[in-house]
Amino acid sequence: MRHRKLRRAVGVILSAVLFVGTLAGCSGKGETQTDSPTGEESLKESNRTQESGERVMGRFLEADVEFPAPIGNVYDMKKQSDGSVRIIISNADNGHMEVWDSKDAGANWEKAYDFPDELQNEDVGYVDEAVLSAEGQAVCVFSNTEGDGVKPMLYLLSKEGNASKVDFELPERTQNDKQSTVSSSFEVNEDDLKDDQNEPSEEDESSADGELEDAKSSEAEESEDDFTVGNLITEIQFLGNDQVLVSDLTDNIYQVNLSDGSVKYTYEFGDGEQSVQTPYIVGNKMITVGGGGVSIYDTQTGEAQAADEALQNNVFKNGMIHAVDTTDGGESFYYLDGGLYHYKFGGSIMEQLIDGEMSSLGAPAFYPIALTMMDDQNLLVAANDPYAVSGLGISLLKYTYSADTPAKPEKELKVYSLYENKEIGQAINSYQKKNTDVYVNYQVGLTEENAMTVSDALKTLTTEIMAGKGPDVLVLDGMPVDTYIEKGILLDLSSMIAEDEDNYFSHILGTYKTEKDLCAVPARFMIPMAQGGSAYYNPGEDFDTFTARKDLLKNMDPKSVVEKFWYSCGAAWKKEDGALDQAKITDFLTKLKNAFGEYDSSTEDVGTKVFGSTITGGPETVDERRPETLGWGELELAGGILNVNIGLCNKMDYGMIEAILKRVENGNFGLMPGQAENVFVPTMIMGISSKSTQTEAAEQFVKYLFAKDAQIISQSGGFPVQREAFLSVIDGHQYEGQEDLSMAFSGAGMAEGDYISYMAKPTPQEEIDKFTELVESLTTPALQDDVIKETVIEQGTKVLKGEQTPEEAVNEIMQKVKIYIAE
Amino acid sequence: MKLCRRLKSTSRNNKRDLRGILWILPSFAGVLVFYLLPYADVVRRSFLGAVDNQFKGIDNYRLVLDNMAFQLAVKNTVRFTFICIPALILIALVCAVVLQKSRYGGVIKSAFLMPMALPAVSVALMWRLLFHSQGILNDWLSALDINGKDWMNNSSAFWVLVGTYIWKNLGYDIVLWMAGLSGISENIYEAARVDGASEWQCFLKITLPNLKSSLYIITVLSFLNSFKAFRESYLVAGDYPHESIYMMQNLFNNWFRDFSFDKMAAAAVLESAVLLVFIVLFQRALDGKDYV
Amino acid sequence: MRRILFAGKLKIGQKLLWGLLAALALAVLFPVIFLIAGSIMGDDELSTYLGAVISGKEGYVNMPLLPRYPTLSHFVEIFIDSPAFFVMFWNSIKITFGVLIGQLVVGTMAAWGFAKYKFPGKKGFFLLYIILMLLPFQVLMLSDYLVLDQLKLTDNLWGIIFPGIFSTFPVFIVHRFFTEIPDSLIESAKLDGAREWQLFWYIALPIGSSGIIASLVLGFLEYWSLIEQPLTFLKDKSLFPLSIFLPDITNVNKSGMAFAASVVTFLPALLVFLGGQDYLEQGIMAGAVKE
Repeated sequence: MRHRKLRRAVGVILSAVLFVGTLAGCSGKGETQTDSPTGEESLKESNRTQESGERVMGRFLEADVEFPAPIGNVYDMKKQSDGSVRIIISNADNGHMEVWDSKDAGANWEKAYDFPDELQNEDVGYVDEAVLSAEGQAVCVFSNTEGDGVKPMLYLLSKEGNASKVDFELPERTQNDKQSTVSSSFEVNEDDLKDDQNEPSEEDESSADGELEDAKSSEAEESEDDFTVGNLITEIQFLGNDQVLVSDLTDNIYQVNLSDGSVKYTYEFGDGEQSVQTPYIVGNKMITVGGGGVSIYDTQTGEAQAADEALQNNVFKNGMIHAVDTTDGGESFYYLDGGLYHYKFGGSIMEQLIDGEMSSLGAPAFYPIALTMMDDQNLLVAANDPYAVSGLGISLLKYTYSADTPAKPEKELKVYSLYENKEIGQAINSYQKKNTDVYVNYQVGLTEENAMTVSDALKTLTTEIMAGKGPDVLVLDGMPVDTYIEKGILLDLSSMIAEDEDNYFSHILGTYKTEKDLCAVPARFMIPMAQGGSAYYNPGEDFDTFTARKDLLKNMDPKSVVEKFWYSCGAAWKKEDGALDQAKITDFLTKLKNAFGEYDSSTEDVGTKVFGSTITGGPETVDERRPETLGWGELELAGGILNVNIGLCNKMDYGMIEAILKRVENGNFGLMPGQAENVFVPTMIMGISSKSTQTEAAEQFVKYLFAKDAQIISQSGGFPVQREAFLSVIDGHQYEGQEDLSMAFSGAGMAEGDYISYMAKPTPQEEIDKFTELVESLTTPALQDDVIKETVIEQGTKVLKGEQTPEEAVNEIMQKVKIYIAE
Repeated sequence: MKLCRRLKSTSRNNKRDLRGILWILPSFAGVLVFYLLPYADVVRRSFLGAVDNQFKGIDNYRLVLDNMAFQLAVKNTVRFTFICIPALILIALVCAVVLQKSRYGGVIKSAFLMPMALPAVSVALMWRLLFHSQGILNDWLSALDINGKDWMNNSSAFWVLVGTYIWKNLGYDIVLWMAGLSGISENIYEAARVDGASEWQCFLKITLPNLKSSLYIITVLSFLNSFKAFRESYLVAGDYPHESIYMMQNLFNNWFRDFSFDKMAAAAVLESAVLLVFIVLFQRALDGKDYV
Repeated sequence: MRRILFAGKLKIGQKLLWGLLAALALAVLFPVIFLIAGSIMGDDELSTYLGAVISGKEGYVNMPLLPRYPTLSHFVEIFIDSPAFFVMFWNSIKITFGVLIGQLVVGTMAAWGFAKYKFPGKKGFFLLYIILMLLPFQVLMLSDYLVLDQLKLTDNLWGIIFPGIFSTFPVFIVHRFFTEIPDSLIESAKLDGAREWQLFWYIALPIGSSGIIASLVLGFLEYWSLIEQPLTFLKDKSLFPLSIFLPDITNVNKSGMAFAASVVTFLPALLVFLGGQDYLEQGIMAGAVKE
């Protein structure tokens, strides 16, 4: 009995301690983020009343700046003392650096000058950074690769573009900093250098860094010290009109006089603890942001000033300041950090001028390069932006304050997709600029950080739709489209789409057409395709012939094999009564197993490694490889690991295809054989919720997605269904006239230093015709049912791994699908 | 005069009525809002189309009763309930009788209780490692030269689920039984033994009848907990588990996902009707007395 | 004489049974021990042992119950490196204690009303309570959501707490206990001039305390490991409770964390359970037995 009491007491005390402990622990740390529900509710309440009360007016409107040349990169942009604005860009077509002026805040542009040839000669070096002063001068960091390794030099360009070398020598790194070897001719980023720094390299002569090797560097490789780098410039900023601030790898910042190259002050940060300092100039002040927080220096005296607490705190909260500009000579400054903020020195708050949520500024991968305040109400922003309307990854945006526009757009259109869809992100971006009265709120159900299952996400979606709070526009990829149509969740779109059907691949558009309506329309499609030597693949052959070859699928990941063949075969399985054809599935699994051979668990990782994709002298393309796509295995095919490469084709890069096929004997490229023929996979399937309260706005938006402007966007989500856009996506026009654009890739299974290189070029007309014809011939949509797909993949993988016989797997599949269909 | 007295008595009764209602009023108001209102909505929906809300009469019920998936789910749920609840109650009773008589019963009892405190997510994690085709269980079996199997992917899944349920709730039921046993006065046994009754007879004639009223609450609580086995099943096997453990909740979940609120509502109404009948019958069957 | 013999026979049988029970208890405890062992194993060790399931390696999962190199790194990872975990823990506390405090007030009052007052339709009401108690969550899921949405309680912890407060389960448990309070006691208190609320405060609550604690302990377990409701009613990740925190174990680097998170979730429930165990016995059964 005593024992019992004791135990009880201990239990009670422990629980009490635990409870109190949590209380204490939380109240310190989590107060702000874990407000009590009542607090949140009252907050929401107050927002609501504010909204419904008086409509707050005034908002910055975002617009894309029309630029006469395709912008591959922006180096700097600055307002000039005469009120014009000047920008340094690289032309995406040829990689040349150009300086442009605009007298009307970005409406019209005139080229001021091209960078002088001496700075554009690739054999001598390349320009890393360039900055502008308010008087039109530019200073650039030219990385000279001629002599011993990379040697950074500063060049001053006059307003008219006459270059003169600044007599500034970046101090060598001291013994402690360790010399390092890197290969050149790539843009060497700091991380690489940091890594190399850790290796003592006195004995370690020259360039064993095969990974980063490339043709040019090996040519240039003559002496053993060739790639030794003493020090590099990481950042540069213009200070006034006659000085620059230069930061280097040792985390020092030098204040350099441009007239004679002398160093006025040196600011030292290099105690190793802090990360690289990024200096920003506000009037005469230098603000640095680094691991240690914000520091402010007076550049006239070279002395540190106390950083305001408000500034310090805010930078900690948001992590980073990006671009900075001032309009009042340094009393206050504007900066970008997921929105536009204004801060007055000595003040206590950061004033938010633009809410990132409602503009591009808040997009997760939007990285500002330059901010130019024309005045308090007009500004220009240049940024790296994967959703950029240009499709080149660089956005040049103009923001204008409009006093008679409501602070928040009147309409909010909710767009939902289960998986992130880049095309729609980019389309929303440009749509919103054209329609300032609509705020398009894009929600993604499954993101990497939340571990929700598809089913959980769908259930949440269901409840929201039923409660009338659901999205207006749905991207139906991965959702049970047929069920949604049958249940009447989706509006009929046939009248909307019918208008100019001739401009589309109508059979693809009509994938979900029934006798009475058309509720879901694919905006894009992919094609299951195959490539390989004639010993393993010949276009036009059937599934049986294709899979009869032993070891056809060797070294592939079992799961993606089943998935890829699911696309080309699944469509043949559905019988008229809705059930699945058992014989066909048995046949499918048996033949796959046959072609796959014995499973060797050590090869599982094949197809996941792509090293050092690089491009010289051109725009950086977004290269995204997903395991189910054709791109996933092409380097392995070239490297001889795979006998044949199969998967969904979602882009056309003729140069690449040709280069890959050259590597195999009698290379072929064509439709992927399967039990069904002429299969396409509809993607980005659009629908409008029948519960939407703003169908008109939703329709307008969906219509936009099918217009050429939005269709032409192509990242990795598939080919456009609009013919014109389709042609422009596959014809490789961006490579026209760019004879010097070479690509190089290296992948798993290729020998060290081996890589595929080819010249990017436009697709030949006959290939365009051939491919278009092929698309015309596609008649069968792949079976779109993720429940069946998941089941087949799960069981099929077990068969390929040898854990199950095909018959067992088929029984399992049939049993589960039977229940599913019966539901 | 007579009338007057009757009036008086009713008024006193009324007052008493009112007080009783006052006590349950706060609770009932909440129940009304959070349970009855939604339930009424479910009943309404069972006669309407899923999304368009058109009146469909009893079509939904017909649809549901003819539905193969529904039949399977009902069959499995009934099978599960009628196997695992009696099994649990019996095993727990045996354990309780034994533990009751020993001094160290308390320690073992606490050990049995632990699984109940284990969160479903953790159990799911464990189960994946245990019952996977390359899991721990098969490792042990292979040591004994027995070929293992993919436990969650064939009919053994049902028994895994039954096992899970018993494993989780055994301690709880033991505690309940032991409490019931301790309530039976030792004097009765003494008297019976004096009369020459064997231990087994004592058990049959004294213990069991005295536990009858405990049986009611143990059954109800065990039944309530049987729904919770679904959590583990869902976390381990997902939307479409092996057909032997495809339960009502799986069906409800999937219907929900696919907007089949019509069928879902009809099935829910049917289920609650069955529950009602079952509870009333069960109460009557035990001793013809309402436990209210 | 006969009795002694009998007792001896019984002892042998009992010893056998005893051994069996102890073995059973160990088997029951195995997963618990396993979890704890896993939580103090290093990543390398875990990925070696669990490789078969997690990354599809050959062979079987084979995990010893004693780690070779015990480490608390996963706990450090959870408590220090993942603030989200802390927020979730706190959310769980809020939900659980919010519900329990509410139940304590609302539930016991209703139980008292059902136990000691007569009013028309009482049996019907109580039957209704039992039925509602037994309905699976999925049945009311959508309609619940619609009601909560009307009350602006979706995506809000109160949307979980309120339905929990009005759960009929504690009424069912506590009611049984209150009915056992002898009417004579109440009558005599009344004669002494006790008011209704005094009856409740000074008689019902003290005598029924173990029943109430029992229902609270059960309630704690229930709301501590709530899964369906938060998944349905909450969208904002910062409101998620601990019970739906399941790190992806297929990710080798996270499996240790999953184990540690399990243990951290398990411990409070265990403490409460052990602390309240005796009340569980007394509370739930006392009523039933004496009938």
